[in-house]
Amino acid sequence: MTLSDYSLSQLNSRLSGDGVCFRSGRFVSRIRSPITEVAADLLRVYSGAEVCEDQFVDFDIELLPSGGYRRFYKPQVNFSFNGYLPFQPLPQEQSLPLMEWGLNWCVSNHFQQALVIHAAVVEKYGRALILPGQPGAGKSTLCAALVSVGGFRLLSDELTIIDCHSAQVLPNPRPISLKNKAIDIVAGLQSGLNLSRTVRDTQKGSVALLQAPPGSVASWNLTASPGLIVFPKFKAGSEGGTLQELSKGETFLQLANQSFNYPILAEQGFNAISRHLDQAQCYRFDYDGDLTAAVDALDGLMQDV
Amino acid sequence: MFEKLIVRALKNPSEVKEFTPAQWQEFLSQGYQTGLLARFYFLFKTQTLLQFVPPPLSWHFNSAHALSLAHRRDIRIEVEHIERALKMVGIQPVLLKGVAYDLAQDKVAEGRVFSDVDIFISKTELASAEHALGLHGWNMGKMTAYDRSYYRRWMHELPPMIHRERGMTLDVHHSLLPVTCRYAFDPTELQFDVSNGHCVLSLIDRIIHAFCHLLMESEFEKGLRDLSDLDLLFRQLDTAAQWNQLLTRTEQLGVGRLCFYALRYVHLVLATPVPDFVLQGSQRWAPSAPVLGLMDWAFPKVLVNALSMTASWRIKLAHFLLYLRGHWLRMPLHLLAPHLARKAWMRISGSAEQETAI
Repeated sequence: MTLSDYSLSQLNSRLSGDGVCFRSGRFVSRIRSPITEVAADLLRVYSGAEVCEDQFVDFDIELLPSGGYRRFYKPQVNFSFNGYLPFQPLPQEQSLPLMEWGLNWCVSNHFQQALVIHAAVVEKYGRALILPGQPGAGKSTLCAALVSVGGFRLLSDELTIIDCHSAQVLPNPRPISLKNKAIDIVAGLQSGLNLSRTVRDTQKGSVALLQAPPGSVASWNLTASPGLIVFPKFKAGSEGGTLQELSKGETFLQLANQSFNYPILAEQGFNAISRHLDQAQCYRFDYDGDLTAAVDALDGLMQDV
Repeated sequence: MFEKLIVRALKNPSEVKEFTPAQWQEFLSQGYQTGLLARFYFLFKTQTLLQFVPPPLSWHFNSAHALSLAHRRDIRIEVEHIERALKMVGIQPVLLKGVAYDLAQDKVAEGRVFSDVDIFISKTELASAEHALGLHGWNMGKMTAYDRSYYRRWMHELPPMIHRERGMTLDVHHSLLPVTCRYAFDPTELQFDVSNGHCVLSLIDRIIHAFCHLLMESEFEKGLRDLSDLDLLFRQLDTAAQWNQLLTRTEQLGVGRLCFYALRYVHLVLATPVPDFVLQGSQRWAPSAPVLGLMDWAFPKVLVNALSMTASWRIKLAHFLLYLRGHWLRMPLHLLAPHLARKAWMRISGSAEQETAI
């Protein structure tokens, strides 16, 4: 059973009652909320998510309206994890982006069973393509293009999880978060993409979420072998994109720096990165915004690994 | 009376053997709320109960354990840095709280979350300690001029110092309780131990510090975790002589009332084995019947239930009551009223946002 088997009103009454349990990536979340917009938002970007009744829940989450005068004036939403509020409240129309940031926070703050790196990751030919990148480098845009037109499988657009022993990438397929200009660019890639409504004026500008493809969601438990690590950078005028090989030492440091729990895992984290890099190639990729050319270039590179 | 699963499991960890899946789910949620998952990993491990954790939930306990170990490793390194910096000016700091438990190999160090390092330095050495720490990269965070002068004038510690490269927080205490607190005692009376080359408070004084800290609180976000710390500390006293020593030291330092509450609530909530003669001996520090009635109503609620948006009005009221009590104990009214008024005005006028760097 998937979330889409619920009607809007059924989902609403579940959310405001005992909550709805579904697989969000590789974890099971229970969401409760009296806020009516949440049901429609979930049906937009999580319609293919497996409903997990009678299973253990990893993340117990409530999206709660602020009390007091905020009930009437500019209503707010709070993200509550087992009763704890890790974030400041946001305007209520930002409930869905807040839930997504919160779910990332749940993983990056509590999951220490594998190395978690701030990077997008996709799979093709059984191998992982990891895309780390500073905000604005275009990793989410590239990631969205790779999975929607390039035939890549989405593992995660935000959190790359590497098993410390096998060095395999553990998928955590959730909606892709798109910001500002990327929203229209991705919407224009292909018709029929499931995009959430665009939420404006968040702390990251305008945000929309793109539903993860059903095939990616279904194979949440299928790991990917090391393949490529590519640091994308949007650079106008780099026609079709330029690739430049990077040393493994430099890549190692970049990955360790962008990891949430490298200092916590210590030696195990070191092993995860070094074992992964032993079997992977590393590049810097400057691209000019021509996503079709970029997807072709990366696909070609993946075939040669 | 209805008792929370997490309290039942703290009192007797083997109760988890009988937990239903729904109870495990609730227990996990309470474990996150109270910050006690790593403590339970330790309790389960030592009592061979880990195999009863449902496999899909075991990563939560394992991860909390990994985090606790990492914190512990980090604070040991931090202690080395702090001691080296202070050695330059000939000061040997006394380590307090979590770090002290770790260095003294107290059971309570197992599965504890170590967020910062606390040290004690005598007031006469404070200026040179601050200077040496500053040279070695510890700086005070941003705060308003009012907050800064408040700390200097009334508190028992310097504003928190943060290391500019490692980001670890250091609290430098020159007394164990705020100078304005009615239970404040002369810090020169403290007794120290040396453990593996590091200076810590003696076991009895570590316990006294722990209960003073908890019972002087005005906010109880992690009340149950602190109570569980106290439970494990009290359990380290295993002879009548040690318990007598606790009563004597408590009398000497004038913190009898706080000791009375600590023994009462740790015994009442977590069934800590406190000998009868100790409970009876602490009766002389009991408050009047109406006050005790009020405390008995509020403390067990607040220590077991954190304040949350969905908490019942009773729990919210109990938290509010003890919030007032905490401030009342820390400062006499003629200081407290202007302070709270000032803080409220800063919040309303937004001037709290205007932080100034030191």
